Amino acid sequence: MAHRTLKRFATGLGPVLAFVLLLLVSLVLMSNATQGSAHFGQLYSVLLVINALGLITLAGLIVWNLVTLLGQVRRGRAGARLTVRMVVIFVILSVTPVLAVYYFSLQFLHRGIDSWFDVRIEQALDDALELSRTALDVRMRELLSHTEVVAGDLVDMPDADVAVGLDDSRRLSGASEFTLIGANGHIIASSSRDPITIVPNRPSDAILVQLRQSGNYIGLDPIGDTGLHVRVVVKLPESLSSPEPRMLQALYPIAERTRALADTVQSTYGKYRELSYLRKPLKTSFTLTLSLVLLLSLFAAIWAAFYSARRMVAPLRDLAEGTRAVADGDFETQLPESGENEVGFLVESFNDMTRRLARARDEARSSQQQVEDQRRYLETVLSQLSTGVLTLDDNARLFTSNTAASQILGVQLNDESGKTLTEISETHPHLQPLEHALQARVAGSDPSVTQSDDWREEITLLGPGGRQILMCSSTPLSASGGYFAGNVIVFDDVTDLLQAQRNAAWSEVARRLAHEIKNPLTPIQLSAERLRHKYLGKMPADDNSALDRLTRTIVQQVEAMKSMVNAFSDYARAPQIKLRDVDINELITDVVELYRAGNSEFVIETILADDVPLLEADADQLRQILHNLVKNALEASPSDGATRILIETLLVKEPSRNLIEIRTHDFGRGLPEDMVDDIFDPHVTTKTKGSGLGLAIVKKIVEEHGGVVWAENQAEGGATVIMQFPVISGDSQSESMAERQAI
Amino acid sequence: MHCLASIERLRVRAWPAVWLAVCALLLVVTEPTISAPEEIEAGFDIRNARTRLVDGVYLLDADISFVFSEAALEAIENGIPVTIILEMQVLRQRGLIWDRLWWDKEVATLEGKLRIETRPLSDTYLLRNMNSGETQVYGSFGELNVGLGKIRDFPLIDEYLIGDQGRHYLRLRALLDIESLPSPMRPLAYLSSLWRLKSDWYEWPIEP
Repeated sequence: MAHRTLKRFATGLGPVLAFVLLLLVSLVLMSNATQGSAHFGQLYSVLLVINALGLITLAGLIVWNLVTLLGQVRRGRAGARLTVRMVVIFVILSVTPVLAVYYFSLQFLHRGIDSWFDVRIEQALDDALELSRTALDVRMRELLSHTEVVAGDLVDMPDADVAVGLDDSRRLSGASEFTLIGANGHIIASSSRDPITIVPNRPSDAILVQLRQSGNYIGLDPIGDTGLHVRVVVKLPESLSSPEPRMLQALYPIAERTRALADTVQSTYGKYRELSYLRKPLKTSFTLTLSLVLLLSLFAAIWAAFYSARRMVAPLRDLAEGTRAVADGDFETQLPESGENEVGFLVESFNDMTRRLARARDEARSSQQQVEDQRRYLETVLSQLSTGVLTLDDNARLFTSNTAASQILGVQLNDESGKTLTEISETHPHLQPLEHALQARVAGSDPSVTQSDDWREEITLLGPGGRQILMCSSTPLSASGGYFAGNVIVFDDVTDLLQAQRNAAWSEVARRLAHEIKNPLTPIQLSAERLRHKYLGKMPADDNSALDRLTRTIVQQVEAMKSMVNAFSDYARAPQIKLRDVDINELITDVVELYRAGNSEFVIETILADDVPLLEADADQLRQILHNLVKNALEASPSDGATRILIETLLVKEPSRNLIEIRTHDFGRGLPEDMVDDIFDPHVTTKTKGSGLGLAIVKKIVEEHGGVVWAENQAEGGATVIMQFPVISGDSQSESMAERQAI
Repeated sequence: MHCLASIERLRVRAWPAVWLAVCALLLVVTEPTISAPEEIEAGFDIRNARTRLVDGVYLLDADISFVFSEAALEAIENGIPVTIILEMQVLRQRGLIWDRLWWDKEVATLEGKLRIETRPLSDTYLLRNMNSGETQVYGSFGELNVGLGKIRDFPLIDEYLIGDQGRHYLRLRALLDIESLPSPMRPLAYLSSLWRLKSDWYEWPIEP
C-alpha cells in the first residue's frame, strides 16, 4: 500500500507538479528573505530547511525513478533502453541551458553585488561621519566648558540652595536635565525641563569609571524616547561646605535638525558598513538561493524527462510486449488506446491485427479440429477393416498404415513410417515380392516409373506365418491442385480363401469323379469276371486264350481305375492333422532306409544339416510327402543309367523368421519349362501313367503346414523340388494349422 | 588487459582522492574549531546566579562570562547587531530524583534579549534590553562586555505564580541568537561553531 502510494507520488504528474510548485514558492520567499525582506526574514532558516528537504525528496524521487529504470533495463523489459535514451537526451537538452544560465547568473550576481560598493562612496560616508563628529565635538566641548562653569558655581553653594541653583543654571544653559549626584550615587538635587520626570537619568557604571579615570565624561547618548543627547558628567571640586565628592551630570538636547542629520549620517554609514561586511555572506546566500533554484530546475527537468520518456515510451513498450505476446501465440492481446496520434493509430492497427489473428486462429483451429475428427473417423474405420491399407507419399515412402496391414504383413508398420518399401524389405525380406511388385508400378519408388496407374495383382509372400497370397491393388492419390501426392495400396490376405476355393473345387472334382467313375466300374468288373467265369474253358483254345487275356485286362484296368478313383477320394478327403514335434532329418533317414533296403538299382543320398530344429507337423503326412517325392524322383530318373537321388535339409535364417528347407534332387531329364509353374496342380504330370495327383497332394500337405513348395530345373540337369516350412512356435503353428484345416 | 589494469590502477588511485575530498569537507565544516585553538575558548559561562524576592517579585542577579568569537566580534565591529538570549525556566520538582528533569513541571519560561549595537557617530557601543527598551552606552566593547555580564534586578516572575506547593528551581542559560542575524549570515552561522555560542544550563533552587 505504502509502496503503491510512493509509486503514485513518484510517477504521477499532479503530485510532483504541486510539489515542485510549492518548492518554487518557497524559493521565492527565500529569495525575498535573502534580499532583506523583514516579512520573510524570520522564516529564512525555516524556508532554507524546507527547500533543502524538498530538493532531497525530489532527488530521492529521481533516484527511485533511475533505479527502477535501470532495473527494467537489467531485466530486459521492453522499451527500457529507449526510455534511457530519451531520458539522457531530455536531460542533456534541459540541463545544458540551465547550467549556462546558472553560470552567467552567478557571474552577474557577484559583479552586481560588487558594484554596490564604491571606494568614493565609502570615503564620502567616512568623511560625512567625521564631519558630523567634528561638528558635534565642537558643540560638546562648549557644553563641557559650560557644565564645568556651572559645576564651579555649585561648589560653594549650600545644599539647600543647590536645587534652585541647578534649575537656574539649566534654564540658562538650555539643558534638558541637570543632576547633582553624591559619592555613593545618591541624587542630591536635580532639575529637569520635563516636569513629569520624577527619576532623573543616572550615569552608567561605565561612565562613572571613565569619570574616575579622566575627571569628566562627555558623550552622545540616546536618552529614553527623547532621542540623542549630549551627556556631560563633571566632578565638582572639593569644598568646605561639602566634604564628599560630588558630580554634576548635564543632559543637553541636540537641535532637531542636527539630530536628524546626525541620525541619517550614522544610520547610512552603519548600513553601508553592514552591507560591506555582508558582501561575502550575501554572495554566498544568493549563490545558495540560485543553486537551490538551479537544483530545483534540474531535478524538475530530470523528473520531467523521466515522466515524458515514460509517457512516450509506454505505448511503444505496450506494442513491443504485445508483439512478443503475439509471437508467443497469445492473440488475445489488446493494447490500451493511446490518443489520436500516430502511435495511437499504430496501437489501433495492432489491436485490429490481433483481433483478425485471433479470428483466423479460431477458424484454423476449428478446421483443424474438423480435419482431426475426419482423420480419426477414417483411422477408426481403417483400423476396423480386415483389409490392409498402406499409403505412400510421392517419394514412395510409407506414410500411413492401418492395423490390418501390420497384421497381414507381420510387420509393425507404425515403426517403419517414413521408410521406402525397399528399406522395409531389407529388414523384412519376406516383403520382397510386394516390394518388387510395387517398384514396377508405383511412381517414386523407381526412377523409371514416373506415373502411377490403378492396378490389381495377386502377390504371394512367404511370411512368418507361412505362405500368404495377397490380392493387392493400388490407386494414385492426388492432392488439391492435381499434383501427385502418393499411392494408396489396399490388399487382402486371400490365402485361405483361395486355398479353400481350390480345395473345394478339387474335392468336388474328386468326389464327382469318384462317384461317376467308381459306380460303373464294379458292374464292369463283375461283368468281366462273369464272362470269364462263364465262358472260360468252354470256348476254343484260341478264343479261350483271348477271353482270358481280355477279361484279365478289363479286370486289371478296372482295378487301376478304382485305384485312381480311390486316390481322388483320398485327395478330396481331408485327414485330421496330428501335430507333434518331428525331427525332419530322422524322418528322412527312416523313409530313405525303406527304399535302400534290398534295392541296389538306385542310390539315395542325403545331406542333412545338423542345426535343423524340430518341426511341429504331422509325421505321417510328411512321410507321405517324402514317399511321393522319392517315388516321383525315381520315376523321373532315366532308366538307362544309375538312378541317383539327393535329399538335402538346411536351416534358412532370416531376420524375422527361420525356415526349414527340404530339397529333393533327381538327375533325370528335368521338367518341361511350360510345366514348371503348374506341376503341382492336380492332374498335371509328365508321366504316361499315374493319376497326376502325387505332387498336388504334396502341395496340399505342405500348404496345410504353412509352407511353400516349388520346383526348379537344375543347370546341371534334373529337377529339384524345394519345400520350406516356417519354424514357428507351437501355439501359433497349431492355430495356423487349425485355421487351414477348418477351411 | 592493459586497459583493465589501468582502470584498476585508477581505482586504487581514486580512493585516496575520495578520502582527501571527504577530509577536506570535514575540514571546511570543522575548520574554525581545529585551525583556531584560541577560538575554542569562545563561549558563554554562567558564573553565578541567584534570585531575590523583592516586593512579591523574584529578581534575578547573574554574573555571566561572555567570550565572543573573532567572527562575532568582527560582525559587531562592522555594525551587525548581535543579540544575546537569556533563557530562563522556572520548574517545579515533582519527582524524588533531582536529576530527572522530565519529571518536573515547567511553571514558566522566560526569554530576555539583549542586543549589542554600535554607534559610529559617537564611537560607542549600545546595549539594548529588548524586553524593557532600556539602553546602556559603553565607550568600548570591553566595558559593554562587563556590563553585559552583570545581570542585576532582572524581573523574573511574580511570587504568586509560583505558589507554595513543591520545590521550585530555576534554569538559566545564555546563547547567541543566530536567528536575529541578517539572513545572509544565518546559513553559515548555523554551520559554524564560531557562532554557536551558548552556556550550559545553570540551575539553582528558588528560595525567598
